[in-house]
Order: sequence, then structure tokens, then C-alpha cells
Amino acid sequence: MAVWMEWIWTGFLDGVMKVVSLWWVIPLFVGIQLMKDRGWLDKVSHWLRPVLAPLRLPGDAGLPVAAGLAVGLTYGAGVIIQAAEEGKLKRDELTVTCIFVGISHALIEETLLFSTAGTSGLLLLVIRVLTALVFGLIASRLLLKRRQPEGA
Amino acid sequence: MQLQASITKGLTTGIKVLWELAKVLIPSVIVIRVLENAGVLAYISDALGPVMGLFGLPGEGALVLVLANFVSTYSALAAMIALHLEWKQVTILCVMVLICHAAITETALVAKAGARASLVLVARVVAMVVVGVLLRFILPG
Repeated sequence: MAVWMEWIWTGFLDGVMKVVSLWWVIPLFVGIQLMKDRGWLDKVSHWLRPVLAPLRLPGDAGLPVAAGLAVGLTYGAGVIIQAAEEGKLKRDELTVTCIFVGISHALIEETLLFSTAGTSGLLLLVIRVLTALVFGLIASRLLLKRRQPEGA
Repeated sequence: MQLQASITKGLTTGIKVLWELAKVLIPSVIVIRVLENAGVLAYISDALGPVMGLFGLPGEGALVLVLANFVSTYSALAAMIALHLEWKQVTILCVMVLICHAAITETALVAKAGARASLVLVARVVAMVVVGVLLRFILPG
């Protein structure tokens, strides 16, 4: 067997083993689907209020942020587009939201997947969320005025 | 939506994602193994060493960042697994990829949502570089 065929064969075996070891994405997506369908995201968005205030974002940003963090940018963007169409978020509020969620999204799926490369998922998660907060804060200071307290 | 419908939909999505992963992972691992054995990786590594050195990464690390932004995060993950990196390097590279990936598709999404997409992209690239350099000094190893 030519030597390069051996390279391809071992690469193929490596790849297949890797795919098999990722079987858990199937139950993971069942969990994520349940989160979407059972309205759990609304609860998460409620918990996010203390995060939104320092980012100078209105409560209406809660659902898009929750969707982005938990499920991913594709689904999150869908919710964001909806919020924008309903006129709930202004352009600069959308920008801050997207910077925050752009840096830190699909936290369950992407954290678990990348931890299989051989590092601590918790560490990845913490660093990523902190980075999103710092850059979100900077962007909010640059783009948004201080908000009046909610409900006032 | 009914519980059963949610579970079925989740299962379908999960299987689809695993299939997408397989389609990308297997060829990527093969390509990287061949490039590695043929000495191409060493060449890339030498050429890009100085830039990636900023993050304490070998030059091949650049491949991972390019794949993450222009191909897919899955292919970047595959490349990372196939390269022989130390714990600290894997951690830094994972963080960089997670902060800034899918530059084209995700920027398009953000633009569609009505945000200032170029600003979002700049923020992500800057965040990736800053955090990458910081981690090089903060992380042990």
C-alpha cells in the first residue's frame, strides 16, 4: 500500500472515531428543542434582567439574548429580527445586543463541542461570557444613553 | 407544541447535526493528516509562526482560525483535534474560535436583524485578538 493511502486511511479512522464519540449531540438537541417549545426561554429572559441593565438594554432585549445564549445565533437572530420588526429595539440597542450575543451564543452546544478538543468547557464558558460582558459594556457606553429605571 | 413532537424534532435536528459534523470532520481530519505527513503543515507553521506567536500558538493555529471564519466551526474543531497542541494552546484557540467565527454567515444574520453589522464584526475580531493575547499571559503552562 502506498504510504499516502495509509495517511488517508488513518485519517479516516480518526475522523470516524471522533464522529462516534460525538453521539451525545442527539440528546442535546432534544433538550434544546424542549427549551424552545416549552417556553423555558421566557423564564431565562426574566433572569437576565440584572445583566441587561448594565448593558443599558431594555427588558425587550431579554428574549433575543436568552435565545441567542441558549440556542444559538441563527435562532437568536430570528427572535431579534422579530423584536426589531415590532419596533421594540432601536438600531443601537440591536447593535449592543448583537455584540453581546455575537461573542457569546449557543453556549450549551458550542461549549460542549469544543471541550472535546481537550480543554475545560467551564473555563471556555466563563471566558467567553466575561468577554461578551466587557465588550457589551464598552459598546453600550459608546452607543447608548443611560436608561431610566424600568417601569418608571 | 406536544411533548412528543418536540422530542421527535430534537432527535431529527440532533441526527442532522451529527451527520453534518461527520461530513466535515472526516474529510478535514484526512486532509490534515495528509498535509501533516507531506510536510505542508510545517511549512505553514514556519510562515505564520510570528503572527500566531502573539497568542502563544504555533503557525498551524492560523488554519484553525481561517477554517472557523470561512468554512465552519465544525471544520475548525476537526483541525484543532488533528493538530497536536498542548492544553494551553487548545484552550486559547478554542476561546478565539468561539469568540469570532463564521464571519460571513453570522455577520449577514446580524445585518438582517438590523444592527450595525460591521461594528459587531469589528468588536468580535478585536475581542478575539485581545483575549487571545491576554490568555497567553494569564493561563498557566
